[in-house]
Amino acid sequence: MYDGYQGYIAGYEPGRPEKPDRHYMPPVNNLVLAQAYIPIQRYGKTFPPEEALKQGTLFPELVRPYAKSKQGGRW
Amino acid sequence: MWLYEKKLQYPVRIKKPNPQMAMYILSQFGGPDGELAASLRYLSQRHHMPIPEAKAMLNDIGTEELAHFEMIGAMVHQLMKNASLEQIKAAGAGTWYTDHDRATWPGTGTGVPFTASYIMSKGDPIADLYEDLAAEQKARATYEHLIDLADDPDVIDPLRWLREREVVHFQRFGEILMKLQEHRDRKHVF
Amino acid sequence: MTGLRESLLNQIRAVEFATLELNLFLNSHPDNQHALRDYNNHVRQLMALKNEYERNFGPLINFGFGYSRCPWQWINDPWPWEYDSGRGY
Repeated sequence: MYDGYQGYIAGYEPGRPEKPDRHYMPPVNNLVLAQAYIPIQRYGKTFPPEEALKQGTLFPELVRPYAKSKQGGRW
Repeated sequence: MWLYEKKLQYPVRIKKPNPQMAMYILSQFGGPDGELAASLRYLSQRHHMPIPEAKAMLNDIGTEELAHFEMIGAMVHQLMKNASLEQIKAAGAGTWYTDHDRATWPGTGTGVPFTASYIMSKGDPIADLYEDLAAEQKARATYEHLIDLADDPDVIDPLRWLREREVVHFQRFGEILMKLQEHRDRKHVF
Repeated sequence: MTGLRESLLNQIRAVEFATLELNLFLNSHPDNQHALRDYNNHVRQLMALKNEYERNFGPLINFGFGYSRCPWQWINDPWPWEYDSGRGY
């Protein structure tokens, strides 16, 4: 059902020539109710292996640092 | 078939014993949102996945979780190994010592044993993927709680790293969920 | 020798981690040619590193995936979970 959709593409890099992936996130007005959607990652920049290992991921757009809480109870 | 590679996926090098931190971290060894539960969940669910992408992803993330189970085991071991009895008693780990000495065992630090009740394999691929996405979020939250409780940089560093893996796995399972929903719709429409 | 072992293991860890990440990415993007090209390049590098490790320190992987000299090198300490103030992994 997602063929031909051109919605939000995570990690998209305009300069990078690439055969487009078939499965994009559908635009908001085409979303079906009562199910979840997650944007499909596009292949863009990657860390060199040593940096990837340090970060815990090869993909800069997936880095989500955590700031240690002294008090706890972030919510 | 599995092979063993004689290295950790990410290094664990803890110099200071800390039985209290060991008791906390044990939850990620044999607790409700731990690495053992994660691995067994994905390696059970992989059998009934209808598309090749989903079979591969559950198989491979289930395998990576075993490497995380190993890292957590190494952390617990290194935190307990050279702890003195005084340190163990002061940390409230005397009940652990009673049953296990300084051993690593798949259960929580309060002695609750690992159980398959922590996981589900429903036979409905989409329902199972929603569980997997939730599991990655719960494990991420657990790592954040553990990081809040830790002071030693040697302990915080691997915890930080394992937390980041939960974020990556969530994205990958999300992509699989999209493909499964598409597969379901295609199957039922035509 | 310990220095070489550490350094090889660190390089193997890094390159293998890159292949793992690309493997997972390719599982959900099986026709992405850029990711696949990077994967194959890293595999070549990883195999060379593993060969060098095994030539010096014996099998890195059990059950027939590496040669051993005598005596049987697989049982050599330290094991990955062992670390004693500076010694080990």
